[in-house]
Amino acid sequence: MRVRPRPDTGLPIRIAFLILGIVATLVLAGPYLAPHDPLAQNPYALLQWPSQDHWLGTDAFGRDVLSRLLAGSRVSILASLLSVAIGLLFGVVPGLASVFLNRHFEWLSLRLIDALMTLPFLVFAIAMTAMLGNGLVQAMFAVGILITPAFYRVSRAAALSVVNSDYIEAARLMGASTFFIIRRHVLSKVLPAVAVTTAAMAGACLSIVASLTFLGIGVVPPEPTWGGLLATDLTTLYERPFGPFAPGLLIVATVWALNALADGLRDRITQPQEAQA
Amino acid sequence: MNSPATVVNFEPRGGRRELAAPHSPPALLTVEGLTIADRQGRKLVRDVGFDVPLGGTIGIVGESGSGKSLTCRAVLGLLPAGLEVASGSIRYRNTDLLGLGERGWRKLRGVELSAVFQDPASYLNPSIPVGRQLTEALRSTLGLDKRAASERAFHLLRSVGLADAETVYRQYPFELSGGMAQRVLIAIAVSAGPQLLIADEATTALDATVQAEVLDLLDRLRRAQGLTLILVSHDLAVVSQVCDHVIVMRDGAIVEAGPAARVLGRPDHAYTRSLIDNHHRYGVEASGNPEERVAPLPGITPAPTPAPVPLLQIRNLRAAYGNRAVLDGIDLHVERGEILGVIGETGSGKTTILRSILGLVTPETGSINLEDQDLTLLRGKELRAFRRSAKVQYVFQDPLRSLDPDLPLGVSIGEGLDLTGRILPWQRDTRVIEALQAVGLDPALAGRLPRDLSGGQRQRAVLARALVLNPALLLMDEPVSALDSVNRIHVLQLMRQLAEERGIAQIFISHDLGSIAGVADRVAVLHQGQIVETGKAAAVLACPTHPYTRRLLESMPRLQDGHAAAPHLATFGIQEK
Repeated sequence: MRVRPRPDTGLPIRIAFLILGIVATLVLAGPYLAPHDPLAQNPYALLQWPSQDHWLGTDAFGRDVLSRLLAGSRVSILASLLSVAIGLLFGVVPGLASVFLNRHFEWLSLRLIDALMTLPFLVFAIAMTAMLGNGLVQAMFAVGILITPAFYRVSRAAALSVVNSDYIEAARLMGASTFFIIRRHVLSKVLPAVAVTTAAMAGACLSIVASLTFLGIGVVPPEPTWGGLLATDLTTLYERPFGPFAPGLLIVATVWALNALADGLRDRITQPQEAQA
Repeated sequence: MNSPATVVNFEPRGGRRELAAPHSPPALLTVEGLTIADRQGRKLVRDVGFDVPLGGTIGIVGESGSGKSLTCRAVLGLLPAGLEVASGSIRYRNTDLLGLGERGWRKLRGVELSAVFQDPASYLNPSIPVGRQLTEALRSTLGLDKRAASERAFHLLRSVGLADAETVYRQYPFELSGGMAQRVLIAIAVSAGPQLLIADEATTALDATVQAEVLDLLDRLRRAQGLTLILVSHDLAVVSQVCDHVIVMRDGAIVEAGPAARVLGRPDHAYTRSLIDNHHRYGVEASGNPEERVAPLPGITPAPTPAPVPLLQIRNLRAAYGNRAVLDGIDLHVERGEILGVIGETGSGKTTILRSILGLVTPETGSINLEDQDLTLLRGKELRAFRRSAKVQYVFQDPLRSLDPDLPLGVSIGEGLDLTGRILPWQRDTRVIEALQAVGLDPALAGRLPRDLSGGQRQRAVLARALVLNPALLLMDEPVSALDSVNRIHVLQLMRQLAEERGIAQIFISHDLGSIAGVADRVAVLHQGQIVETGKAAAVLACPTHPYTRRLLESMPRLQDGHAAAPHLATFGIQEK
């Protein structure tokens, strides 16, 4: 009997951490690293190609592209983190409550989640911004609500797998409250699965932020974002054919890093269980 | 084989060699110098060798972890991942099993060599009716067409004693009892007419009466089909009933081997002797003489009997699931410091009694009084307050499942203390350490996770979790049924000690008469939700009045070692076969 060799997950995870480290630096220090004012227009230097002064050239208004990219990191990343935070809050708490609270809540929350799963992301987000006003917070709130089913399902499944275990009954027989049981016995089973979902959803949200800002939803010009840069670069593709490359690469690399992290986390979590079997 | 010219019937490595009669049948299976090691090079089975003659029955006994199951798995080519045969050879007829590829195994396994394991339900697909699984097995091993296979399936089901074969054929595995499922597995195992059948703890999980029936079935099949049988068990009595040769294993090596009558009647090795002594001490046959029932534990003098104030009084208890009454008219009482054994088969309602006391089942009628409090009336906050008072503690049947796999032992054991009230961390730690010491565990284990412990250690840990709260009454649900005989005895001694030294009353439910007889003061026999007999343990087991109790006693596997057991058997009025 041979055990199938596991693919080495070490390298992708290390690269993912490197990328996320760079992105985190951009978020924290991006605006200060920018060589130029990201909003300053220069009518004498429109649509320039890369030069020593402007490493990534300038856009149709003569603004420094590198500075706009650095300054736009913060909004893009924070917006997707906001969605994930909303998804976590409105997904995990009801997910656990559906197992431990009562039948009525379970039925109601399941139906609600089913309904949410039928809504398409972009259309819902566009409708929300139309209703609540065009702002990134409104749009990301909508996205956050739409990713709650993933968190709800994952935490509910993990809690269901332990709710009938003997050790939880043992705790109940010693007079433990539901809150005590969740804190002591359930969270440790739920958190690993939730961590994986969080990483995967952060990646998904980032591409949604990029899509929304690409469409011009959620941000008001001239505020720079990754998706917005991609859109303006596309309009000047003829003059600067390499233009979409830099924002596109940033988006792809960050989303990939988050997905790689999720994969790695999942492998790390399932590994010890396989070794036991 | 050292000397191929002599016909060696039985040859344990490093042990004595017994020459069989010159015309004895040739060996069907020869294991020589078998050593099994894991990746770190730790040897789990060391230099094991034996011959299995054609048509013979070999019993392998030993504690859990003695390597008996691994040896059998090696014979079947089914070693768990990470383990390898480091040296030695296994020959079946003229085939070297260790050099066999996947294709070669397919021709042998299930066809010539077959096996039955402990937990029958897990070897059946829960979503496919039994009949179809059996027919599929027959079609793949024997190459029968659909009709012939299903006819043969009916025949097989009947031949393993399932009279109502038509019903069983259509049933799903979960609709079968444990004994029926094991019969189906045996039917599948013998379907291709194998030469060698390995039964690895095949009857361990079954009730005493069912166990006797299944052993009888194996014996019958062996005679009818000329099967060669290897029976692996931690239960000496099971092996002694069926086998003509016995191998005793310990720590991965054979300590003694030979004809059953000789090994069990005149054991050479001290370890075998201790196994047999233990069996007598805690087996039912030893209780024929009431004075000898419980061997006095070293250093413990029996406490003087306190004035009988019932700690727990159950009156006219009736409980039902839906329309089916599970318990009816139960009257029981437990004194302080007394151990009450409740004997009954699966489904007799034993566990429901405990669950009623714990408030997990709401009885239809009746009362359960602990001191002066009626437990059946407690609801919501009162129930939780009562539970936090920790007067009654429950010890689950499966210690591994009743411990949180992610929490160190110390945290699990201290959980009840966290719940009962404000306690400083260092006070809690001292009490956890005291509890660990009280059950004979090293306090250093407090930092370990449950999976790092052995089965016996886990059972003690679960006991420690109950004891740390100083309960007045312990409810024990089959606390020793998952343990091998050595650990079983340690836990039983511990229970006795708790009753005598700390005055903790215990209700001990089990389907195993042997362990109840060894430890209980009084017994109650439960049959189909009613108590059919109750009284002093020694009296009930020595002269049972109810026919059901008698049947239970008769179906107990007994150690067949000739002279030693005979007088006790006579006391019971049981004829030796």
